Amino acid sequence: MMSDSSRDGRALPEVPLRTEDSSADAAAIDYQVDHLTRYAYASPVTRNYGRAHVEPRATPHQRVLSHEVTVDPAPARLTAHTDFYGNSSTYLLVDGPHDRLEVRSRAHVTVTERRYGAEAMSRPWEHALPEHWGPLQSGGSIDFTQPSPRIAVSAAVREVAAEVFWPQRPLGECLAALTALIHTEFTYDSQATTVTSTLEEVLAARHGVCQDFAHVGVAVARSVGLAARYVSGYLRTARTDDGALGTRAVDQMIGSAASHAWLSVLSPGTGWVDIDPTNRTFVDQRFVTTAWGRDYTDVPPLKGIVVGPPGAGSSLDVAVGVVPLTDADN
Amino acid sequence: MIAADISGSSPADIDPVPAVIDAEAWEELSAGLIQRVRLLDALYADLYGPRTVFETDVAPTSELLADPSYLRPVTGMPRHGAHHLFALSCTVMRTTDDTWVVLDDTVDVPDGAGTALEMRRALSRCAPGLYRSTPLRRLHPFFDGIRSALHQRTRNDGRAGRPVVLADDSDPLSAFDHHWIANLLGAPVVSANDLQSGSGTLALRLPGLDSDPGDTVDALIRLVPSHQLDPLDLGPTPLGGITGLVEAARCGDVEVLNPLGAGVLENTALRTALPDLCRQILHEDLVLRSPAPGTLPEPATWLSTDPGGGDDLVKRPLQLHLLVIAGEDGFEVLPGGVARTVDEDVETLKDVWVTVPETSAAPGREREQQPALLSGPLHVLAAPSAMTRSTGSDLFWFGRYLERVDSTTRLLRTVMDSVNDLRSERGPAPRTALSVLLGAVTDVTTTFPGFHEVDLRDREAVQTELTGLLSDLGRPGSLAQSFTALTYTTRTLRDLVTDDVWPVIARMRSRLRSLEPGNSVPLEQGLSEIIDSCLTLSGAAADAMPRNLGWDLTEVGRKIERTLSLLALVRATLGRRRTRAAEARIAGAVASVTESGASYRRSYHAALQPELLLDLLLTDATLPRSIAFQLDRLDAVIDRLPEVSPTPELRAPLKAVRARVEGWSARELLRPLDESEGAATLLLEEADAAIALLRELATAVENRFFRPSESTSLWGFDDV
Repeated sequence: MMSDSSRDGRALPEVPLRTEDSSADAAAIDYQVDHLTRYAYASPVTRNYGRAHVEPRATPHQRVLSHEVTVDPAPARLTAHTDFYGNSSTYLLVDGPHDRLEVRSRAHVTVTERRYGAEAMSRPWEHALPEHWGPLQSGGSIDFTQPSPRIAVSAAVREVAAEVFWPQRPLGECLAALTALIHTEFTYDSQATTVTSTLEEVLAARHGVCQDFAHVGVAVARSVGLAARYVSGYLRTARTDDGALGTRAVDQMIGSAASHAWLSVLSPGTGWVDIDPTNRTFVDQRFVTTAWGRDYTDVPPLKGIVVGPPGAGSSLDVAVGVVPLTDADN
Repeated sequence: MIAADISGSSPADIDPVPAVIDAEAWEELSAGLIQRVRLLDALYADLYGPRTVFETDVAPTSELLADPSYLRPVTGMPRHGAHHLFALSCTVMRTTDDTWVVLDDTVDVPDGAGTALEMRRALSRCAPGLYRSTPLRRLHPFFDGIRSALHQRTRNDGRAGRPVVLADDSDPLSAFDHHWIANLLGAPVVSANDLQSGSGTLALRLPGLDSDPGDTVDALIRLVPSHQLDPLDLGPTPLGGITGLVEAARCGDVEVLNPLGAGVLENTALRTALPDLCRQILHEDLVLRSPAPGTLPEPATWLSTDPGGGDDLVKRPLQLHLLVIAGEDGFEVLPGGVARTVDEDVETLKDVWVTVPETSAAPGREREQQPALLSGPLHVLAAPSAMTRSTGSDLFWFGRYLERVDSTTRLLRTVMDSVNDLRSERGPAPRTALSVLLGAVTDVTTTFPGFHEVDLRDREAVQTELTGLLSDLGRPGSLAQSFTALTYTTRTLRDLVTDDVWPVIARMRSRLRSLEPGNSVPLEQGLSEIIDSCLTLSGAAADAMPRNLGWDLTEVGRKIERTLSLLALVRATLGRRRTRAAEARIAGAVASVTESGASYRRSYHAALQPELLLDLLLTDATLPRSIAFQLDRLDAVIDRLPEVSPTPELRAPLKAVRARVEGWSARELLRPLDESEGAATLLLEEADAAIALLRELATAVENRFFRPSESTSLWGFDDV
C-alpha cells in the first residue's frame, strides 16, 4: 500500500501543518451555538433529574465568550461544575408535575485555526508513546492510554491497528490513514446502531454512527499505546431564513444538526490532534468542542432519570445550530 | 450471640482469652494509624481535587487511574469537618521483631465496630471476673465521643445535624454490623428508597406521606459501596440508589461518610507508595509500613487457648482488625477490636483488650472518669419521626410473620399429637378426623396441594409431608421459610427493641434445626420451645417498643395475620359436617390450637360441639384468639394511623369484614346444605369472602404505607 493514499484510492486527508508565515493563518470564526433538546411525555411525570455536557469548553483553539443553559419548566435546581476532564457539567432537577422538558444551551464561541508542528507530525508514531512524553506532559494523560468503560482492546481492534500503525510510520500519516480507513471500511448508518452498541458489535458489523467511529479510532490508537480521547461537540450548520435553529447541514457533512463526536490523539511535541473519521478529515474551524473524556460514558450530551407513573412514553426532539456570526463566514 | 448467628452460617469459634495490648504499645500503634488516616485523607482531597500527585514520580498513577473505584463524577466535594474521611479500618499484624505492619485498609465502607462490641459483650459475660478486674479501655464511652463529634460536625451551618445510616440489608452479616453502628451513633437505619434528593435537601420519605418532603438528612453514613449510590452519575445499581446524591453532596446539602469514591484509597499499588507519599504530602516518615506485595513477614504469636482442646495456653499468630474514626479531637482509634488467628488450625476470633497504664493518663480514660456534667448547651434532636418506608414495612411484616410462625407451630404441635392418638384408634371417625386435620394443616399454611394429594394410609408419605412443612426452606408456608422471613424483618428491630431479642432468635433457629430429620429432640418439645420463643418475642416487643406508628403497623400485621389463620382454620375443620364422633375429635383439636378449651369449659357445660366452639371463636371479644377480639383491635389501631388522604381505603375493607362477621351466627353457618356425610356448610363461602376482604385490607395497608407509588426510568443515556 502506498503510504500517501488510502485503500479507496483517494489521497489521505491532509495534515494541517504550522507554517513559518503565521499571517497565512485563517481568521478566527465566531459562532452562535444553539442546542435544544425537548422531551414530551404522554402523561405528566413527577420529577426529572438530568446531567448535561452541552456547554462548549475552552480549548487551545476555542474560546467561550458566553454561555447559558436554560431549562423549561423552571428547574428546582440548576447547577454547573467543572468535571474531572475540565468540561462544564450541568445538573438539573425539575420537581413537580410536568409533561415536557426542554433543555436549551446557547453559547457564543470563537474558533481559531488548528495547525500542528511539522516536526512532531513527521516523527515516527512510536515517539508519541508515554515513555517519550518527558516531564512536561501531565502524568494524568496516562488516563487516555488505558481501557475505559466502553473501550477495550481486542483482536479485532489490533487488526485495524496493524493496517495503520506500521513501524516508524510518521504520526501525521498514521492519523490521516486511521481517519480514512474508518471512513472507508465502516458504513454510516444511524438506523443500524445506537451508541449502546458495543465496540465489538461495531467492529463486526462495520456499521455505526459518529460515536461508534470515534470509539473505534480511540481503541485503535490505545491498542498501540497512544493516548487517545473521545471528543463530543458540534459541526457548523447553515443559517436558516426565519431565525429558527439552523438544522440544515453544510458541505454534505454528516453529523451536523445533532451532536457530533470524534477523537483526539496526543502528540507530545505539538499537543492533541483531533480527527473526524465520520467525515474523513482533520478537525478544523467547522467544529465546536463541548467536552472530552475517555469515551462516551464520560460525556453524554444529556441523560437523566425521570420519576413518574410507570410506562409513560416520551418523544424526543433535538435541534442544533452552529451559525457563524458574520456574513463573511457564512 | 455473635455475628454469624445472624447470618445463619456456622459461628466462628471465640477464644475467651483476649489479645492484650499494653498502653505503651497501643499509643505507638494508634499514633501510626492516625497518621495513616491523615495521609489517606489528604490523598482523598487531592485525588478528587487538584490531582497534584499525578505530577509526582511517587504516585502509582496508572494503577489509580485504572481502578474502577476511582469515581470520576465525584470531583469537587466540599469538606465539612476538619477532614473528608470519617472512618478507616485496618488489618494489622505484629511481627516477630515487634513492629506493626498494615496488611489491608478498608476505606470505602469501614467495618468491624459491631463485631468488636459483640465480642466484648460475649467475653465480658463468659469471663466477668477477669473483665471487671482488668483495667482496660471500654468501648461504649468511645462511641459516645464519636456520636457527639458527629453531631457537632453536621450542626455547622445551622443545620439540625441529623445523621442517618444507609445500610445494605442484602448481606445479613454486614447488616448486623451496620445496625450496630447505627444504634451506637443514634442514627436511624434507612435504605436507598427511603431517601429523596430535592432542591437543596436530602429528605427522608416517610411511610404514606408522598406529598410531605419529610425530615432533611444532614449526614449520610453510608455502609453501601460508593458506586451503588447514584444511578444518575455512578451507573446502575441493584439497590436503586439515590438519584442526584452526587450533586447533593457536591452542593453541600448532605455530607456523605465516608465520602463517595473513598474506595480508591484501598488500591494495593497505593499501599506500596505510601512511604514516599507520606514524606511528600505530610513531610513525615510513615510509621506503619506494609509488607512488599506477595511477602508476609513472620507474625508474632499471642497467648490463646489450645485449638486441640488441651488445658494449657498455646501461642498463635494473629491479625487484628482495628477501627479509626473522626472524634472530637481529630481521629481516634477504637480501643479494642477483633483479632483473628491465622495459622493452620481452625480460625478463632479473639477480643482485643487495651490496658490502661497504672498512672492512668490515657486521654480516653480521662474522659471516662470525668463527672457526667454537661458542658455547653444540650441539643435535643427533634423527635425522631424517622419511620421510613422500609422500617414500616419491616415492622408490618414482623407482625405478620411472628403470627405465622406462632400459628403454624401451634397447629403442627396439635395435629402431630392427634395423628398419633387417632392412628391408634379403630373405626371411621378417627380416620375422618385425621384426614380433616391434616387437610387443615395444608389449608392454613397454604401449602397446596399438600395433604390433599397424599395417601393418608401411607405413613411414610404423611411423615415426609410433615417434615417438609417443618424444615423445607424452599417451600413458602413451611415453618422454616416463615421463620427465615421473620428473622429478615427483625433487622429493623435493633433500633427499637432491646438486645434481648437476638438470643431469642438464635434459640429459635437452633430449635428449628433440631427438628430436621435425624435429630433426636422430641418433636413436641421442640415445637413447644418455638412457641415459647414466639411469646418471648411478642413480650419483648410489647415491653420495649415505643408506642408510635411503628408499633401500630406491627399490630395491624399481627391482627390481620391472626384473623386470616383463624378463618382458614375454622373453615378447613368445621366447614363440612361430619359424624358426631369425628366432629368431637376435630373440635377438640381446634380448641387446643386456639387455646380456647378452658374458656369453653367455663362457658358451656356441654361436651365440645362445633356450633358452640365456633360461636366462642367468632364472638367472644374477651378471648385473645377470637375473631371478634382481632377485629376490635384492628379497628382501634387503624383509627390511630395517620390519615392523609380522605379516601377510606383502609376503612372500607375493614368495615366490610366487620359487617359480615357480625352478621354471622354459628348455628346458621354450620347448617349442612344437604344430608350427606361431609356436607358443605355456609361457613365455606362466608370464610372465603372474609379472607378475601382481609387480604384486600393488607394490600391497602401496604400500598398506603410502603409501596413507592412512582417508578423511575432512564432517559438520554443512549440518545445519539
